[in-house]
Amino acid sequence: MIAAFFPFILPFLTGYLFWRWLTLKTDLPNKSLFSFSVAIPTGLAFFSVNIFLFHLLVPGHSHVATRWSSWLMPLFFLLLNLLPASLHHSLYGPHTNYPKGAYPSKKVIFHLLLTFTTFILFSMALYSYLIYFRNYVTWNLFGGWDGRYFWDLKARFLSRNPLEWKALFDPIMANWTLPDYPLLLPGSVAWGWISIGREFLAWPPLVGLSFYLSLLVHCIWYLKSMRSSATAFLGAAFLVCLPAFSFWSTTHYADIPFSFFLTSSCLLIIFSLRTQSSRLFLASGLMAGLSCWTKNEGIPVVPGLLLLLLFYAWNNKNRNLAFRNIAMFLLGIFPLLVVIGILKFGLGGGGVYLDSTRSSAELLRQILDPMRYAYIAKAFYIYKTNSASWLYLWPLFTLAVFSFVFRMRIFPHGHYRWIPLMAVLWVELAYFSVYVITPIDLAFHIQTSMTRLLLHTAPLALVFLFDIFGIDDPTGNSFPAFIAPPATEGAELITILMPSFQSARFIRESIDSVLSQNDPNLELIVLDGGSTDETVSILESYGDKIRWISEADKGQADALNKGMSLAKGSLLGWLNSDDLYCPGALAHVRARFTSNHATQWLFGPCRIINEDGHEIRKFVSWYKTFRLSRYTYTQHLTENFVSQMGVFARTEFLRNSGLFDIDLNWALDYDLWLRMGLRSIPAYIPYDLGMFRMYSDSKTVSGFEKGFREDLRVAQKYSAGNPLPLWLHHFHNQKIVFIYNLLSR
Amino acid sequence: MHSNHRFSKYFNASPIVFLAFLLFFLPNKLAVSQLPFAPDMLTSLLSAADVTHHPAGYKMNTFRPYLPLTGKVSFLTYPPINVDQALETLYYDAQNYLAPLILNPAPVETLAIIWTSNDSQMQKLASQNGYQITSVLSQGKALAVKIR
Repeated sequence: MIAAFFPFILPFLTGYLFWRWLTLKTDLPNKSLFSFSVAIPTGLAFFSVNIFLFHLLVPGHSHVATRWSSWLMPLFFLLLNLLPASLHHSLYGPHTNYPKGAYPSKKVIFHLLLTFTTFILFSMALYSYLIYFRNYVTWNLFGGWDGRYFWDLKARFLSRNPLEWKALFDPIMANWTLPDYPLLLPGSVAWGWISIGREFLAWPPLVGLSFYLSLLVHCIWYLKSMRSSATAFLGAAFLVCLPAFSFWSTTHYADIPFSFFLTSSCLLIIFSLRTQSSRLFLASGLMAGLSCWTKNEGIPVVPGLLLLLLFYAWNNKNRNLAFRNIAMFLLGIFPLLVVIGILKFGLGGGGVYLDSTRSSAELLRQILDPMRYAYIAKAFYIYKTNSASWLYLWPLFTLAVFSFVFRMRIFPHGHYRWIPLMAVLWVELAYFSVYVITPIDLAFHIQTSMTRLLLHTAPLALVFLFDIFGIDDPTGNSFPAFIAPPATEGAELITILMPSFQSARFIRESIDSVLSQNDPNLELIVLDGGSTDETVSILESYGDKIRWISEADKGQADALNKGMSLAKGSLLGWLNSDDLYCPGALAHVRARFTSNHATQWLFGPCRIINEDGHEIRKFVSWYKTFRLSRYTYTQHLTENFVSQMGVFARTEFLRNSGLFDIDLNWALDYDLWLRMGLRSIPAYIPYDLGMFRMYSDSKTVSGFEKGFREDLRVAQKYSAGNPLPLWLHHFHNQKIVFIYNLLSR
Repeated sequence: MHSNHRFSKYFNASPIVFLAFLLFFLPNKLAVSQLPFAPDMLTSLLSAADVTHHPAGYKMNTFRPYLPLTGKVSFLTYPPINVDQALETLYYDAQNYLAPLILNPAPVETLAIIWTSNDSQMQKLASQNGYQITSVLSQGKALAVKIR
């Protein structure tokens, strides 16, 4: 019964795993929902590129290569997902999770009701649409003219006989198949037929449906992230009710797939600019490239997006960062442009768009004809105000534009919410220009294309509309309204606390690892518990480079509490007197806190070294990093995988989270982190920050079993009666005790 | 978000107005299917068995055994495909069905598909374009070979 859906499985896995990997170290909100929304379109796009390249390079084995690659790609991306975070390229920027706001109860109840109502409305709209789609497609299986004789025909050339696929570019076919047109949709359709081994008829409409549903989920993702779930469901309900989309989604045309990639590219640019994440710039470029691989209309979109980015670079104080981000955007587009170049200029003949039979004088006369402009403008007006197709989307969009313009001064520039608006204007300007110079009869051209062209920008208009008029999530779960750009001056003071007792053996090395960070805005406070060895003389030898006190205390927690009261810095970390910071660690920490004011605390990976400073137990470091990069509060309750020397926090946040519990001997830091985790989700930065020294006399080694028992008691305190994390914690403790005992033999 | 702008109060109320408008407006605009539900056809399609549908251009299945899988053949109709829209559609459907074999609407290839409504038109079309009928597959439909 559902065999027709099987070819979606591998594209979904490929796309989902790819996006999970690419967005892993980014600030993109709701990554799972985002990856879900783009999985099938991206997977199908990748497979279509594969099919094209295999046909070109190994035509005799193209279908076999396609099938193999379709299994290998998801496996490859799965492996990339399993890589420890430390192995991810350090070129990619840092990321932060955002703290949740307070929950004003009345607003929350109202919002929950509203979310439920809009969800019901969306479900009803989706159900009605699916019924409409089912009935329409069973009776009109072959779609519209372009779908039937253009896109699906090309798919047949790709799927039937790979040795003869170039017949597609034969001049006889060129009269109507536009041989230079990109092959995303034909490749996607061909993939389904190749994978099943026959041309089953339901596949082309199902491909069309998958792009449309992905577009809906994509809009839900964006509006949920920017405003609220209620706004997202309402926006998606509006989109699914639009008759223009309902109808064209049944026709197997490439307009909705193109609309999907154009929308996705623009929305990703917003998050790229707001988070300054190189990976997201790359992702946005990739989506722009895929829009070019879907329809030729994608090609004029790219310069428009580039202009936007150059405008951003022009206004950015940190030009190097801005241009690096633009380079990442171009890097995302580049592979697709190469493929399109091969298709267009190597096989398709470059295409004929301006009609070379016209003289320049004729073209000029056309361009200078004011009546033509008036005609096109009127056509835009008539089509956009056609409520039977658009349900007042465009008039409402215009209203949103006016609202935005009036309110511009209360929207900080950092919102970048104007990007969909600019994209709509740019794309429509491009289409307007095409109508001005078209060699085809203008009335016929407009009649056959304008509604479809409006499909390209309608989702952007819709998200802009709902972003402007939507309502916010009162729980504060939506993306922060404004993220400050990286600061270039006025760096904050970082205070490092170093508790010590009888640490003469290693303390010099530890202090040097802090001072060698070469950070001018750094304060190191050593809190010695009245050591009787050479510790004090070592501290004296540093003169005024460090602050220190040496007096009896009630243990490490007491020393740290004392240090917190002395700290002058607005950022704070602490380092035991036998552990070390990695070179450049504080620069990464400062960059993260400076670039994102929402970050309250963060952590990063650490290595384990022995008393000689050589790295040991790499597997343990790998494991902790793996878990660290996938932090959730519940996960943290099951095991303490955070290494103390890799934790930094804003001092005020730390003080407000409460002091160290002096009754705890081993789990004092775990206790504090769980408290901090309740107040704010930590950021993870994928750089090695510290080195934990493990040797026979160290506190952790000598009492690790006691330490684990204390960890478990602390976890119990914060587990809110949920036994599952505690059972898992107990299991992890047993596992580590076993491994440590094994390693110590 | 605060503003001293004189229009602010209207803008601040706009989300509620917008929301209320859509909540009342959209339920009346849900997609409605005018076509009946055909469960057998749906089952056939979703199981990828296609027992209730023929592919586009299926009319050409009688020609398939006599035609090469690749290369080019002429596709001649009466009236010509650029005159009769139904025949133009047939031409595109036939191209779909027979691809990667290319159908050339010009009478220049060695082998030709002749598609007319009766035998006399078929003979006339063949002889006018220098073809000799080799196989008549049904009334007015034949395969022909170029003789001049």
